[in-house]
Amino acid sequence: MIVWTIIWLTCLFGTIVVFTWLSVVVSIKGYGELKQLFEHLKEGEED
Amino acid sequence: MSNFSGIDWGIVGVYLALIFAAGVLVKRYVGNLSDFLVAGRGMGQNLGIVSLMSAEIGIITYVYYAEMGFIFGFSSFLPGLIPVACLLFVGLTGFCIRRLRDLKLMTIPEYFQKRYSPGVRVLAGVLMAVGGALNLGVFPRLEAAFLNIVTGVPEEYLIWTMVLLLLVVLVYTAMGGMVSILITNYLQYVLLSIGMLIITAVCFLNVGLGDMIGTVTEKIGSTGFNPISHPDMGWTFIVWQVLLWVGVLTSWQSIAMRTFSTKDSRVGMRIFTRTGVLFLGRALLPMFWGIAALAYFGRADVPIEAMPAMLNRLLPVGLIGLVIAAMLAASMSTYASYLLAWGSIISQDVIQPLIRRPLSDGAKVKMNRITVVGLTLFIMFWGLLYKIPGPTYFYLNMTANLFLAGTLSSIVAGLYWKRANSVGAYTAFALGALSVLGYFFGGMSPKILGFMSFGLAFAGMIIGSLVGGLFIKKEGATS
Repeated sequence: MIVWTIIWLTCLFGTIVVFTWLSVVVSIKGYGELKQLFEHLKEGEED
Repeated sequence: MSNFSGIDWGIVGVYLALIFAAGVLVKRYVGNLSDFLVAGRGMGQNLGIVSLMSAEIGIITYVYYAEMGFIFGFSSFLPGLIPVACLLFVGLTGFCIRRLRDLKLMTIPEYFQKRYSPGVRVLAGVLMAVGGALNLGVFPRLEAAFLNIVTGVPEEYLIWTMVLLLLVVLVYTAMGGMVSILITNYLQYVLLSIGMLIITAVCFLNVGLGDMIGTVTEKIGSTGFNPISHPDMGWTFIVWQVLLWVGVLTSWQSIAMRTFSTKDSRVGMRIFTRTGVLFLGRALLPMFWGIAALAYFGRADVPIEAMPAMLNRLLPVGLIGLVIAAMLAASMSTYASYLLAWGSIISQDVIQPLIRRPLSDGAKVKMNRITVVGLTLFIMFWGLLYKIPGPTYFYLNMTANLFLAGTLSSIVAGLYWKRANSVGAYTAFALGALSVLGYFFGGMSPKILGFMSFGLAFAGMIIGSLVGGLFIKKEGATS
């Protein structure tokens, strides 16, 4: 049971750290891509 | 006494106003069906990750994963880890998704027409529509119950909460299709990730990790930590879940729509790899909240209601409004995405092939919107009429299994086995779906039925194709 507890706690803390970090990264980069998508669709509308 | 105050209602109101303003702004960019369903195939990697996460996280996700945590303790983390392994596998190898993306499809059943026959497309479409609608059908009731418990709205107003929730979602979805969803998904992801981290912190600070471990040991025992020894899990469960998740990732319409929306197949593969880690948070954090609720209450008559009841008591004024806005954010994107996904299957793969005449893009968009309204009405009533037997997670898995076993075997065989044919596909779909009926009518164990469903579907595909190969000529050209 101790081994399983260590495994799950490692997963939990690892998840919290990576989830936080990756969420910040994709939010910042996603904003740039969102602007590009708008441009792409605007061009389509003008054509 | 609920902590939800006027300030919190104000926060939720401001959030809803912002989302609708964003939806109205992008509506004019939806020019054709490709824009409506797959955003003109112009989605980049990070926007894809954000969108996939927003679509696959709703209040329902928090609710059923928290219920798993409450019932199974730390063992519940196992079904949270399996999707991650599957995402990494599919993302790194491009298994199925690379070839499917290169075919420039809009829905998965479209592939079945190209590879097998129009009949297989319609059968797949019908099973997906039924399974998808039954799956989505329990969302409104459970989510409305969650919202009522956290905000302190009395239980007798459940139906009104459901109606309001669905009306908001319907207007939001009908506004701009996939383009509107991509843009609002972004705002929603930012909010929901903040909300998830707030709740996790509140659980640590108010309940404490030591108490959680102690309660799981006392209430559940060693099976609360060791999933292999748990009677509802074990190796059969693991094999079933791996097959189910590979099926979900390659052929679940709301995920497939995002694969098809990417700029190219390489972007699609990278989205899967990077989403893997975020999917871990999608499962493990709500499961952790469920364990915290078990430690907080000790027991509960209705396990699924324990986590929202805990949030109602622990979250302070202001923060609770932010969390509810985050939860609504999560749900709106999920509903919008699922309604669009299952609606597109019904209109593109069931109704349109049966009409047998070409429709204009405008008529197709209109048909999609009508289907979405019809689907919304169905899920409103299904949630009120049907009572889920056992954990919600298993119900959702079983409704998905109704078509996933046949779909996965037909896609894999279609893409990688030249001798696969429509007889094999029909047999796979029939056997895969029949096995699942044991859950709805026989009350049998989900892990056995799920395992059987995939086993029989793959066996049906192989035997059916070999037998069918003796009678039919070569069909399709896409493998």
